[in-house]
Amino acid sequence: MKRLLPAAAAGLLALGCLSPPPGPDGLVDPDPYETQNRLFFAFNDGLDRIAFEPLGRLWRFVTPRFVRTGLDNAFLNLRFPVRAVSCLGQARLGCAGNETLRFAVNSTLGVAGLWDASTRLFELPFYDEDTGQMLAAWGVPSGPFWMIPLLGPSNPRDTVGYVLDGFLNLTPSYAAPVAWVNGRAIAVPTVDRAREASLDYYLFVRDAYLQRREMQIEERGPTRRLRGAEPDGEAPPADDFYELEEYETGAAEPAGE
Amino acid sequence: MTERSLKLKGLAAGALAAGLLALAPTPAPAAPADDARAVVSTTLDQVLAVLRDKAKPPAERKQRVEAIAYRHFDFDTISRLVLARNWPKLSAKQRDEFVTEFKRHLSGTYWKTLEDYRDQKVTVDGARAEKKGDVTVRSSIDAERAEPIRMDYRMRQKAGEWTVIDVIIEGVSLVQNFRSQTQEIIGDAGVDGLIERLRQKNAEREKEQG
Repeated sequence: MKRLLPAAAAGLLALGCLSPPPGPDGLVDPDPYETQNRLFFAFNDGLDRIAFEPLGRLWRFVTPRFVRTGLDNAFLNLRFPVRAVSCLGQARLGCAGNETLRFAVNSTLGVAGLWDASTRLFELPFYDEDTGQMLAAWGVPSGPFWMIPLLGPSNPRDTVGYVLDGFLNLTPSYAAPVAWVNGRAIAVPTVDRAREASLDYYLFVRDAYLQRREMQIEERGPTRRLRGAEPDGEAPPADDFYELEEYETGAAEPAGE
Repeated sequence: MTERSLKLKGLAAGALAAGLLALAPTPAPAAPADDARAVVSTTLDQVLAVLRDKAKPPAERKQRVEAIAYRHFDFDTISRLVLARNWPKLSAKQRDEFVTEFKRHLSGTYWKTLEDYRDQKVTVDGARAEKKGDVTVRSSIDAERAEPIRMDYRMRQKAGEWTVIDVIIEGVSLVQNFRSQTQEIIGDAGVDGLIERLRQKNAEREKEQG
């Protein structure tokens, strides 16, 4: 299995280079496999409702909040090589050094990472990098959006990233289920709200995933902004918020705005 | 003191004030980003004060938060931005219906999110100028998970007031998310189908909440 994974990763990387062909209107379909994706999504969502969500709720019931936060801190701390290597791979030495320092501080003063000492004591920034973002920085195309059974929304590039992150993650395999359940438990209110607020939960998840990844890839500064800190002074990232602004200021708009 | 002397005194005070004003250096106009940031900051303080006031019954707190939100959210602009290329296709009646139902949907679901609030620290971080004179104000909320949740507000000045035209949670713009949802739903079910779905969602949620 261990030998198979790099081969699989290489294969997927090749897949990632296959950008979906533009449609008749010249636009790239953001979701060429929507029918299959919706099928896998229904499977994931169903499994979540009968298994993972109840497990998460149970975990919420039996653990106090500080335990869940502590565990989340610890698992995030164990992912430090993911962040450090991804920063190094993008030649962002400050970010790599910062994450290594955070790991040293949190593993010691922070008692095995349970307490985020780097933030609480020293206000160190935090860079939430992963190898999928590193590959994007290298210019690897994302490939088409796809929904993976059990794992959720992804694309070929992020799937390779997921596998690489798995190798770099220091979380011992016996603890991985705890990380999963704890994460699901923390997400209970978020998922509840998302299900209620979405008009079509699949479309909500797909768009949220695409937007969030785009933000993470474009972001060069720290993920957590320091208290009261002013923005990085970078140009605003390109977004299509105003793409259709002409309609917004159409005839219905009162003059003078 | 006679009425006349009062008047004179008033005049003198007025003149003095005017003189002082003329002498005082005119304060530099605050940057729009700072203005918008201040609006978000005070509004969040107001909302948090209501949420922390657990002595009040939930219904009353909800009403108060809604009153604050309705003052600061520009639902017309949000609706137009969400429907974007579909907006011109809507009749005046459909537009009214959509704005009404969408506002109901947003305030209902937003309130449920706020109900989860458990005294976490909220920080207004910085502000960034966007195109069209808009400003994005960035804030974060301490969360149960390790890292705080990032919540940004895109603001637009309308009739001298800064209003919210988008909320961006963890990099996900509400406007763009609903835009991609509504585009596909309109493509499949038409505008009336979309409005009907919103209406159903609202009815279900309100029935649940009793």
